[in-house]
Amino acid sequence: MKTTDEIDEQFAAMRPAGLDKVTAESHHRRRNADITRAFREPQTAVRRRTAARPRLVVAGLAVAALAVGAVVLPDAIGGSGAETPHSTVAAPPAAHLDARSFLLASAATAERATETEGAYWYTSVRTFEPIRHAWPDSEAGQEQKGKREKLPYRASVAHTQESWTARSGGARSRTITGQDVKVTFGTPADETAWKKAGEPKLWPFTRAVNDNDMPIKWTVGAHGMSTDELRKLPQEEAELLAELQRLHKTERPEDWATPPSFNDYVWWTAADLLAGPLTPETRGALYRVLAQQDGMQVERVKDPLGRAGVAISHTTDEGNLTARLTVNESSSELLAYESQADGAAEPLVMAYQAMGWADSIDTRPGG
Amino acid sequence: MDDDPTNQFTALYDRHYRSVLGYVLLRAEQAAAEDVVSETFLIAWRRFHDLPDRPLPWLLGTARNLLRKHHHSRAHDVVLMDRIATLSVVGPPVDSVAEAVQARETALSALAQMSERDIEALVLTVWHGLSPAEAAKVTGGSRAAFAVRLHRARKRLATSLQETSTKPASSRYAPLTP
Repeated sequence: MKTTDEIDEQFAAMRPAGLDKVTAESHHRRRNADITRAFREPQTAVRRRTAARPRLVVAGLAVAALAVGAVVLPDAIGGSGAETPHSTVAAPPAAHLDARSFLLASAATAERATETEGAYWYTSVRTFEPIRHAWPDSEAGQEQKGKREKLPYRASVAHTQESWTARSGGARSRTITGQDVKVTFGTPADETAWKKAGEPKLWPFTRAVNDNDMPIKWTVGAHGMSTDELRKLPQEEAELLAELQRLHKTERPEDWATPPSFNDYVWWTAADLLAGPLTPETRGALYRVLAQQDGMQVERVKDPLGRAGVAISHTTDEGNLTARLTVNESSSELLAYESQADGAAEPLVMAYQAMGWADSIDTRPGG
Repeated sequence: MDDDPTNQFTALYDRHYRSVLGYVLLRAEQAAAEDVVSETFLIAWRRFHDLPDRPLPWLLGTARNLLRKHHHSRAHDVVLMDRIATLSVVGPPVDSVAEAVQARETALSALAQMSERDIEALVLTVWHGLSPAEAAKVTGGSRAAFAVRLHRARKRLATSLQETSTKPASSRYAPLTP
């Protein structure tokens, strides 16, 4: 009888010689696109446990499971006022505000809008997120990762990403990530703790320009949709509702930590869709679909960039996650999306500074 | 060592791409296999903070799960064995063509007598250098169950190699030109 080593040796010899050549060729051919594609995608700061968020958007609409906790980020950007990761409640409303009427009014506003389609859909989004780990020192190296411990103090980061998503499937798309990175601490004591710990690096991502020559998919729920498919979404409320139901039914459970109810699903997809290049009619229909949903809270707020808006909140059926859409009352545009998980430490906030059609990959809307 | 995560990720990709694709190619045609590997690394980037110290087993396990999903939507499975046979076509030049064909036939006949699960146990440990505990993680079973399977796989391989090498070259697989 042969020894284990002899048997293993024989099996090793059976490894198809062709594999090396095929895999080396493929590595060379796919490397650039694969890596670029990955870098377009936000990293999930939090490992999903029970949160209802699915995998995210290639085109840059990050999302993760989030949490409660008031962290004030005192620094101003662009002189436009204080940044805080939460919307703050504005002065008490003069008139009674109800979610359904507000959403129907937004639908009407959206439907009246006109648009001139350009070659690129542009977004500029400022993201506020909790920092989970310090990044290793240079000498620690990549084999150390996975051993990082949760930060013993509270810190957050704000950063801006711009994206130009090509209207036509084959054209180049671009993101510029890691702009205006600002790390802040929960309290002065947190900052002191960080200094005592030797000021470890808390956020290593710096500005990077990423060009991508493959068609970009928008994430809707956990489905991927081309810009064309997004533009062709139904423009009538009933048909859009039916399409969302179809998408909900065809979600794969394995893409979700907890498969969402349809009511919750409408919220996730709305957050995805409202930042994308919908036609004005579809945008209107989407607000009408939202208006039919149950269990919404509404209030006038200042969004994290200090802009006035109306926030519609929805808590998942399981009660473990609250999502909030802040909408500009006069234009019906999405200002911010916030998501906050029960029991976690801090929220995720994405504030849309600008979105719209741009004519070229190096200009902004209207520019 | 570079601490920029994008550089770290690129290094991870460069180090493991070929292994992961080599594994996936045993289960899927090339275009589909490349898409699965691409998706695997995309997930690796998203969860970069959470990757274990030895990322290869995690990468293989993730790819395996993606393959499983992929296969749900497909009419047929690509059997390990057949993929090994196909991939063996692209071999390097050998000293003696006849000898290579004979060796290959012997190997393929031996593999043909083993179950896919047995072959996979050997692929993970011998070709990819995983420990039984790591391989068990990839296949989603217990470590003990994997150890039993690996032991059985080795035994079967030894037996079938013994049998096939004493038989004349079978015509089950047509000789292939290297």
